[in-house]
Amino acid sequence: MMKSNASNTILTGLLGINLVLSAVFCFRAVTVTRDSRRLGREVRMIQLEQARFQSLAAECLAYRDKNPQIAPLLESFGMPKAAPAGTANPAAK
Amino acid sequence: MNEFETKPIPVFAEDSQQSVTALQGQVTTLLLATVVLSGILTAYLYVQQRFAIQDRESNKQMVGQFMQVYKQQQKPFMDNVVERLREYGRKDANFLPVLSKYGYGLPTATGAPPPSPPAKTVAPQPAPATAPKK
Repeated sequence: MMKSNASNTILTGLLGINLVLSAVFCFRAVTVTRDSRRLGREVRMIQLEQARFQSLAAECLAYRDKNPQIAPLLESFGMPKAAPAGTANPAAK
Repeated sequence: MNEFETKPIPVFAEDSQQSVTALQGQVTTLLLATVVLSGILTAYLYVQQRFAIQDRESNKQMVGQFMQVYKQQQKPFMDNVVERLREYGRKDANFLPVLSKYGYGLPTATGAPPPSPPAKTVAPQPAPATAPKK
């Protein structure tokens, strides 16, 4: 009877320790996963910004065909110069 | 009569003692099973959180480098380009829709200036109106 009570107490204590450890590990996993998602969100935001900027650059190059006055400004950014003909090369791009 | 009254008690006591012992055995078995299962769950959660920490650390380095390059090199360049394109947009009004299409519209030339002058003209009017009231 006493032996059974002692073993039950030990097992209950082990169960309690397991539960506490499970809660700690679970909390840490959730926290770390949330942190990883936040990093991923920041990267996605930057990629979105880069894609938006690239679209603007492409639109500027298209605008240059209509209005060549912007060409020197675009070339100062390192964008490719417009071909002298100006008709066949942009289509090839 | 005394014999009849005293005889059932030991039988009942022995029977209940056996059932209590059996119940204690079952409780012990169940507790043991629960401890084993919760131990497996704890080990699984430990491994999961280790993997999550490793993932985060590896991602943190890559993301850190990526963000550092973006903030130190790309962002200033992009801001410079956008600012100069905005300056060009102030001279060439036909270019403003291109800037506005991607959210880089002029803060002063797209929507703000038309509303702001009326606001400025409206604002002084109440001021004189309140001044005489005082």
